[in-house]
Amino acid sequence: MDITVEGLRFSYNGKPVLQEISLSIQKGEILAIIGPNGSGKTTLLKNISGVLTPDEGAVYLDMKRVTDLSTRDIARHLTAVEQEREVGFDFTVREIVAMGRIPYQGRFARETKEDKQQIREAMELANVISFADRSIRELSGGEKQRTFLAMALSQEPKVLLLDEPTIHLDINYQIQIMEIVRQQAKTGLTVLMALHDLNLAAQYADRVALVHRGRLLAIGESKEVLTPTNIRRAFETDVVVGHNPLTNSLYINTVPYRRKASTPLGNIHIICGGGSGVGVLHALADRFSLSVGVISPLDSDFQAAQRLGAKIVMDAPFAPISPKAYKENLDTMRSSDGVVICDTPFGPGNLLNLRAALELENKVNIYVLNPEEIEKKDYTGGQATQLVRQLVQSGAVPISSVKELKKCLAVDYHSTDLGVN
Amino acid sequence: MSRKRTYSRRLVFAVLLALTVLTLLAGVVVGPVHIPISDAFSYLIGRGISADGSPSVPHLIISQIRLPRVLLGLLVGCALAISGGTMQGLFRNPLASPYVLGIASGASTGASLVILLNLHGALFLPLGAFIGGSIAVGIVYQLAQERDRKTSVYTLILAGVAVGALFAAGTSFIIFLSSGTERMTDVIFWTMGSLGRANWTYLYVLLPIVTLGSLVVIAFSRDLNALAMGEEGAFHLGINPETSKRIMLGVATLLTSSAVAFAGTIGFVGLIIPHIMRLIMGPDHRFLLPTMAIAGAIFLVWADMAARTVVRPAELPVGIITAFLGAPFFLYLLRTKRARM
Repeated sequence: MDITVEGLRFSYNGKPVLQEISLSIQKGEILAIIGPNGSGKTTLLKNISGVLTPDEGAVYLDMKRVTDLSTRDIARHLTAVEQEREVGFDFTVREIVAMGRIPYQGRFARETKEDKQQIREAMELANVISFADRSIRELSGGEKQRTFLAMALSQEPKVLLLDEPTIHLDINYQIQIMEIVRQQAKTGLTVLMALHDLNLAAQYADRVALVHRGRLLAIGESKEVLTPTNIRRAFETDVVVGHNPLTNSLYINTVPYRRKASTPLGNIHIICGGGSGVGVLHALADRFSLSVGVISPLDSDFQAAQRLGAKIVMDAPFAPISPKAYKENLDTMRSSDGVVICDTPFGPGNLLNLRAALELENKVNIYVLNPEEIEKKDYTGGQATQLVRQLVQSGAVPISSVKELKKCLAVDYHSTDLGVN
Repeated sequence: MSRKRTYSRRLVFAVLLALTVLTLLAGVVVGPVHIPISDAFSYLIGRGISADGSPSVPHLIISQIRLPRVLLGLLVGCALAISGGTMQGLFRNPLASPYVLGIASGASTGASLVILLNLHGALFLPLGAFIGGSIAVGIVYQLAQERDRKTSVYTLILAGVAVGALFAAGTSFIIFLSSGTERMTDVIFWTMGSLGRANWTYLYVLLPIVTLGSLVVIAFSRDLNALAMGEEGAFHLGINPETSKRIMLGVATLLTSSAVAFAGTIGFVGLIIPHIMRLIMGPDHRFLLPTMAIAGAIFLVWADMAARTVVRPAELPVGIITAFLGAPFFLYLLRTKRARM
């Protein structure tokens, strides 16, 4: 069964909650609705399920308007498991799953053979048979959620709406629930679920709809929707989006917020790459004004530097540093109070960064992190090793760890405030 | 397990029906004037008329005093228990009852007013009581609902207590107004609760109300089950929660009010019977509501027999007996309600 939402608007107590939402979902598709708390995900689900009536616009199940259907008619096509359902009275799991047949039963009817079979099948699909006779109140969160899922399935729905089905569940239960849902979608069930877990959305949904402040910010395949830009706009959080080869889906990691130095003690330039600069960058970010270079935008240090607001001298990847970038980098270093050379592997691509350091007039303010490591990771046939040795001979300070670096800088800047005692 | 449960459900029904017959007999036999069981039995099966065509004294006692009283007890007990069970189901809380929600207070104010205005006719009493009860429950329900859109049980109960107190004050005021007249004793009677005024007219009015009301509520037992999933959960099962709630609340109010109209405010039957039966039968209202109805009927008749006999030859208001049994039970529920509902 297809769902079409057209120009939906909904307000609560005069406050607009949803505005101009239009989307469609096809039979057998899983659409995840994501968005920050209070963005309107739950309200959208309730408008689609008929619990709430839109102020404007309409929701169609196939061609029929939901608001034109009777409650019972809706229940024969569409069902929903709302967030954190609480059951009054201690019904057994089987009794609860059996309630899924209510839309098909008369007031005084007993369970028919077909009812019994549907109930049994639903309990098998949701894997609740083993505790069918236990009270719902004795169950764990995951077992409860599976019971509600079984109840929904015994209703033989064509459309299933789930509001945060994995909230408060351990990770194994989250996966269990999602796998059951995916399996049902394969047999033609249309699934619409609100999820707060972006990774689950990326992994299990065919498409993702990002809702922000009651509006649809983006809808499409996860790689189109779950971009750092979109996520930053909706969640005001920076993330790194990567590809998980194990599940062939995206993964999203948050980047923790760091405070920029308000009154920097000085300017420090960092030569790094391949992740070697992350530790140094984070250690110095809240006290110094940082710059990094030359670095390519594909480098993992690039993102860290960007995140921490460091000035970046960049250049195209997979090529030796261009004269222009070299010059810019040298100028940046000259205007810095200190330069840190990280233990990054040096190759033909970034060797020029070492040469630039050697051009500096005042080499006393150059710190070389783990020179012997640099020598080990020398892919320039000894050139990098030689440059590092030259630097140290002419006054650069060899440093063994980030902690020691902080200590040296604390002495140099007469500061007791670098977190080192 | 489910098989075993069906068996025990049947057993419960059978036991309850047997107890009903026993209760009917006992209620007719027990009393200040000794009447042998054989006489009672012969009357009950329709051989009450003596050879010369005039009824004997024991038969008069049975037909005009004891049988109406027992039957009134059965109907009132049934009405109170089933409306209590319905309220508990509607509000998903074992503390909800027609008394806690202020319905009984409203109903007795309405009935007292009927007496004060000296309106005659057996129909005025339940009508007045129903109007009073409806006003009370209407206020409580509105108050509880406006706080947030779904009905919060705690607001409901607090509002019920406040509205109940308001109507109780109204009843006291009516008693004050009627003081010195013979109607005062009538009014005081509502506040105590007694089956002592039973007569056949009352029964003819009450029987159809209780029968139909109980049937309607039982017809909605599936809705009550669905409402245990919460209002949204019920909606997703094809039940319109607002409609179902209004119908059931209305019928439960009618049942309670009619019971109050003829027997005054007898507390706690609507609280403890549903709870005990839920422990025995499980929470499925399709089986629970009918057994509650029967159990409530039986319970009230036995409570009334106790009221008639413990301080013989005087008589206690039956509400005192049910309160003595029910209030401690209510306190026990307050302590343990989190454990099992």
